Amino acid sequence: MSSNGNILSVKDLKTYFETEDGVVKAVDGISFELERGETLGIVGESGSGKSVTNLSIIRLIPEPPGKIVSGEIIFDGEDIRALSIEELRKVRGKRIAMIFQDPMTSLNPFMRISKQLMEITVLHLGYTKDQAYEHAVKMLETVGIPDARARVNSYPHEFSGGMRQRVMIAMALSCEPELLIADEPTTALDVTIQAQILELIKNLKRETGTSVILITHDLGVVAGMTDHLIVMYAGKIFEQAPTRELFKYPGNPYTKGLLRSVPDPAHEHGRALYQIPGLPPDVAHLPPGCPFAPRCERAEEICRQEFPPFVQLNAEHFSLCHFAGEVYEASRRERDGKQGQPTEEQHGQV
Amino acid sequence: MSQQPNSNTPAHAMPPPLERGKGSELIAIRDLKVHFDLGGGGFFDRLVGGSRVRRVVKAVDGVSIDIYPGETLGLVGESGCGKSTLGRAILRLTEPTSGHVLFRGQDLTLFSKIPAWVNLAGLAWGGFVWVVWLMPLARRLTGGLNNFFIDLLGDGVRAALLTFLSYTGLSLLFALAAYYAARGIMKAVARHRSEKGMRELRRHLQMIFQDPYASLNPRMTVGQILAEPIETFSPQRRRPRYSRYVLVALLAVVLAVVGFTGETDGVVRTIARILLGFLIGWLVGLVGEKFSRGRKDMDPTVVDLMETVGLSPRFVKRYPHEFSGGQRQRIGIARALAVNPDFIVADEPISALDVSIQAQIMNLMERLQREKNLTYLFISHDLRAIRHVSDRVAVMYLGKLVEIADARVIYDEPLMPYTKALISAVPVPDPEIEATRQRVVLEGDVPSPINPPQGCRFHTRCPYAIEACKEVVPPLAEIKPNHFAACIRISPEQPHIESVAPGDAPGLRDAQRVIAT
Repeated sequence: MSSNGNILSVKDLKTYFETEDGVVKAVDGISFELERGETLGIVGESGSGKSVTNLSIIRLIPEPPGKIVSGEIIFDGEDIRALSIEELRKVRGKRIAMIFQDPMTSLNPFMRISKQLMEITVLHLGYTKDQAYEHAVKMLETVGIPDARARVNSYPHEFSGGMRQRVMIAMALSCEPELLIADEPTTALDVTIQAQILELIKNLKRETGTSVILITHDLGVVAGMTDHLIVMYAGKIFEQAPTRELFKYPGNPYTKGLLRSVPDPAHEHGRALYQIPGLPPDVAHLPPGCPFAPRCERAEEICRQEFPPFVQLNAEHFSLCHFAGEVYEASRRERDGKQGQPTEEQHGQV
Repeated sequence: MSQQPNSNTPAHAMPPPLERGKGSELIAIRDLKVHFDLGGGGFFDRLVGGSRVRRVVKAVDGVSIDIYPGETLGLVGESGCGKSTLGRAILRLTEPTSGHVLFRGQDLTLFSKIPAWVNLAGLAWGGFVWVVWLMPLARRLTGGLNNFFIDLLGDGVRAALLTFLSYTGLSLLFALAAYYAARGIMKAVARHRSEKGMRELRRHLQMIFQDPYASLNPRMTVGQILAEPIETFSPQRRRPRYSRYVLVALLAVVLAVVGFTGETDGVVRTIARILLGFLIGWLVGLVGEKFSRGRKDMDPTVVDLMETVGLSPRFVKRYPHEFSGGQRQRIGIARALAVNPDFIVADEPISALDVSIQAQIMNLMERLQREKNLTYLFISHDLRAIRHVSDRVAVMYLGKLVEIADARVIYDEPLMPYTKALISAVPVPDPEIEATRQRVVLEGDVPSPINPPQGCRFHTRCPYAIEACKEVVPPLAEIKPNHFAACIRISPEQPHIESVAPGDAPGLRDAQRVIAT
């Protein structure tokens, strides 16, 4: 990855939360880079720190209790952490835009859609009211809201969930941002609407060349949408690779388990589903050693005692595991040996 | 077009007779409807600016299906299609508007019907009360009024008229009151009796809810939550009735009176005192038992249940908030299992859970099904999960079933256009398949279930819709063996809509042949 092509590079980011339970290391030393025009997927279960990572990038962490303890967030050559609030405002919404999971709670229910869409262009691009209004209509048309001119003056409650999410996307794309962060953009939507929204993000990305960070817990969503993938667990990056590579040759037991625990309509035929035993960890009380060790099927003594190294498996593939090399090799053998048929069928105890 | 069912006569104009089915079904649902009346359209609504038309949400609108013992029937659909309402209506947690649900041949919906005799009995009893008691009362009251009117207006025609009017009014008022009161009491009695019948059957029919936290009482321990259904349904375990305490307390008072204040013989007095001592000791024991939670919590059945669903029995005294989402769902499953049910409606049991936990819960449910020969209605919007757990899948759209088939068949070869779109919308967790595969992206949103589209409800979004689709409600017809689909543009001879000539509707010719499984 050449550094001049990077729109965003995060280095050793640590975001901690002070709670009564002690310090919660929600994000603990993660680094990644995002090239211009690329889509990065961040996958993880609830509490893995994927949303906190992205709130940290635009410094929206509630402070206190949260705090970005250390790390660099270089956006287009500028360190976001060093910006003043005034300078930050010029970046937020204009150059980095966000789409949140629940469009109803992120739209103001008392304001007309038009006004909410105009606000952003008036503020960031200095449009006059008329220009902003025209722009709002144009944006609604772009995101595929039928009869946009008639509906632009509606209130959010008059729109369906899918249309509200379209409005959020229109708002996010109003200033043609260089980076779009979509935090579970389709989780609250039905599959047919999800397909519409994903298609929309894909097309808009193709037209505008925006870089996208897509956060989700759904491996299916990232499979078709992203170029690179980060798998997070307990505030750490567990695996990082190009999407195809990661799906094909996972180099981490957690990723492997996650991939196998998804019922896959294209392959699987009524077998007992693979399950990862146990529960996601309590980030406030992590075990020593590898945080996944208590749930890992191939954990050994070393996993419970020492924190695993971040192993480079090939040019762009990294995995946080003591046995990353072995797991990777096993994946390669399984995949290339028996097409798509995992060798050992683990059922695990219920 | 004249012999075809038009938009006003829905496809279930010929409802399948109740005895249809192979006789082996556990649950038979026949033309079930659940409508929620939002009001509107009345004179008063117009006056105060309400809705001009009557608005009825047709959440479930004529669903017929059989569920066989030991199978998992998956029910999929988008939010608002009525799948949860259907699940709840089967268990009568939401009262069905019409239609029948048969559990082993017993019609569950009849339990809610207020029999016709209630009105007649109310009328008779109300009339009787009125004649015997209220009429004399009204006469007495108006007698007093008569004197008052005479004092006020003098003894004349006006006073007599006023008296007559007030007597008539009062008498009518009393008659109405008597009728309504009597009917109300009768209704309550009838309802109580029907509820008792339904409650007995609920032992066989259980539900697992989507949000395990909202469906567990936060102030009860796991032990109490699991013991409650057991106590409800097994008489010998039922907690002691309070009437027993009252009787014992009365006895104690009598003994105390005899033993301490009475002018009785010394021997009797001594015996009474001794008995009183025993009684007090027993009472203390009873109360102690009631308040010692420990004994009930360690009920071996509860321990068994917890082990069955993979919860450690040492959590028995914990409260729901101390558990994670997956563990709470296990508690919800254990509670449903507590009464050894035959049929469980699982309403989105995994939707609120993390991916790795979803697999655990699905496997748990499958294992329990094998061990206890359970029958599931598995409701979910997650098509991947549905495919994994189900034997057969029913697809629902705006209150109607649009396709029913074996789980594998429906994914590999969906026939109805909506099912096709739904299945193609599911992202596949494999980048190489995702890169090449064609996806049918539907236009627009699901229409409102308030006054849904006429004809085929999917015609507003269907890429294959023709004029006839707006008029004919497609019947759920058997296109292939055990594969039912509701679409007039396909037929058993031409099952694939892609190969049907444009504008042709082969299913129309068979529209009279309504079959529902």
